[in-house]
Amino acid sequence: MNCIIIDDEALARSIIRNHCDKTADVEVVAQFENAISAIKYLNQNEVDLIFLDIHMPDFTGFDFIQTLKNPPRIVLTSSDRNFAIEAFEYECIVDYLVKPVALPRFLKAVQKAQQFVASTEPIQDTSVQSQPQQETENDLYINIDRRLIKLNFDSILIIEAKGDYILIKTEGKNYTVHSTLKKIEEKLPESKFLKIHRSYVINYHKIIDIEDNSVLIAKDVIPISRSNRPILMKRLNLL
Amino acid sequence: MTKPNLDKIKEIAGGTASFEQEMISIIKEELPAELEQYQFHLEQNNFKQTAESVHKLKHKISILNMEEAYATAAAYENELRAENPTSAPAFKKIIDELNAFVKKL
Repeated sequence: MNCIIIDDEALARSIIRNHCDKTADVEVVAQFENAISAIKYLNQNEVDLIFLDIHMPDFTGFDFIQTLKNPPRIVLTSSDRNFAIEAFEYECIVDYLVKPVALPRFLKAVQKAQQFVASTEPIQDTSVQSQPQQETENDLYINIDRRLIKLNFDSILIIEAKGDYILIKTEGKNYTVHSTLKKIEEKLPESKFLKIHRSYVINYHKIIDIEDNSVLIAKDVIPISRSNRPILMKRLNLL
Repeated sequence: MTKPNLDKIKEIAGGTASFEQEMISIIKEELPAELEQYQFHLEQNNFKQTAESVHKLKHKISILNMEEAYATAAAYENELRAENPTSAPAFKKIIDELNAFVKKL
């Protein structure tokens, strides 16, 4: 089995790679310290298995999984000991390892992955529904792994550019979509949304406060570029 | 409280000395930067980023076999995410002990 390792910690990558070196039929073909680099790699290469850290800054393991159209088998890794239930909501996930990973437990995970790889075809998302893509006055449909998910404009807080992807933060959940800020900006009503920085579009009705060159939305502090600050100030109902 | 030790690292290395040494080298390299980041975010009162730093440090705490300290760190991380970090003094003791141990490796 070809595998890749995605983890922002060098120590964690080292442990998994060393365990792979000791395991027959498992070859590490690449290692990544962030998910974005791994996505670029996977756009051009196929792998059988991914060892994926759940908790990485900016782009989590779950964000990463949502970007994959036909995900290979995935073994999740985490320092947390209480993620297991959420982890198995994803069909592609075959096991969950708590860091630091000991070799016997690692071997069990590999065995599970081998069984899945040998017995099944690539995973197809069975939850796809033939739902027409449309933009209404209040909603936006985003395509996540061939599923059209409806987002109400009022639920969207922030949209952040992440390389070839955008991260849409809503009041309930975050979504990673293969798109650009420019494309999504065209779909959003000006009465609610404004680009305040080259990497951020915000729902300015969700601003909690503005301080110097940043705005606070929910728990996120978003920078305002100098050129966009006057535009934002014009949109606000200032006393 | 279990003192930091190399028992778990030896167990993970499974008798491969080069692997054991590689893990120790990485810990010695990563830990100072992680502690510096933690201190920086703490001083900025940035709860979210401080929680991220604690999350990373949990792996070091765990691999150096500090089981009770791991529970404290996990609780502290949750407190930070809830913006009510009451375990900061207890966590400081843990990282001081961790840092002193790693410096001697």
